[in-house]
Amino acid sequence: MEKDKFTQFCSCFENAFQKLVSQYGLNVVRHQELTDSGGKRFSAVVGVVGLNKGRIHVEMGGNLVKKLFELANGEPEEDEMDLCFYLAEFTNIIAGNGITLLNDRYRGSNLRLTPPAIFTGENLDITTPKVLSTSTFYNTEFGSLRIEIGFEGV
Amino acid sequence: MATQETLKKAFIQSVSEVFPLFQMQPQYKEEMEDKFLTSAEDVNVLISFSHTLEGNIVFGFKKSRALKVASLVKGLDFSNLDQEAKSALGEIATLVSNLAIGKFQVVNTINISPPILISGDHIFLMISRVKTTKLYFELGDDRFSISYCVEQYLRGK
Repeated sequence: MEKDKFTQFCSCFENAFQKLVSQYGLNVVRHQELTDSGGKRFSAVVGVVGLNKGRIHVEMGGNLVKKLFELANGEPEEDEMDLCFYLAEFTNIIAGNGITLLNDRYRGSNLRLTPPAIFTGENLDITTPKVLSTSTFYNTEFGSLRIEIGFEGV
Repeated sequence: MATQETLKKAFIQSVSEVFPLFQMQPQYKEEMEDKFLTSAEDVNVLISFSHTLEGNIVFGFKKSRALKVASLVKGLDFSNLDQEAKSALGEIATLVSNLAIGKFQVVNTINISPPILISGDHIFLMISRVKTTKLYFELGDDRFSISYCVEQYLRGK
């Protein structure tokens, strides 16, 4: 994949993310790295298939996913599964909007998303061999998050 | 259309065809149905797919077993889960998944994503909004698992 196209890809997902968090009224600031990477983390991974293969990975701490759940649903979660379902939905919205923008811009790409997979744990290390990825970090008052986008053949 | 039994057989057959290529002889032991959120192994390889059918497949290994599998796939001796070891695990998981999906008895194309490796401590995973099937295989003195969920197929049933 050409570098320019990859940059466009990242930009589409970033726009989709900004659009979503702006609806929550959450103050999100871009940062150089994760500021609270310790402790339990929540990660969602959505695969991209079609002309270009890749994946979108969203990672955040427990406090932030709880706050986002509350903002989206108007009440706190009942259990951890609620948070996992919510993170899956959050990631699907970002990835879905990003893919729509890409399929409009690059006709014939036929990009599709795979169902989200959620992982929780400590010291999570999520990598995709042979896929070049780029990470963007954001800070909020409830914790930080990372959006990592990777595609084959960049 | 493929049945649950066809899906299970596809995975068992594919494991028994691919692993011997790398001097491993896993034996299928048992099937379990997992809840949405379930504990995972130290090292997990996620393969997801979409198109006619969509779903996720997760290969779960203990770290020591993951290193042995990677060593046999690459013909090298890995003591750490470095990029090359991860790549080896991704390769064998992709081979098994491709072969299994080919046995699903679905006429149309199914596209699979690149393998994703997830490792860490106290990992829990949720790969589906419906229940997940988990197959255990004995390999040497321990075992590994393949968890899978084929969502569109289940919705269409």
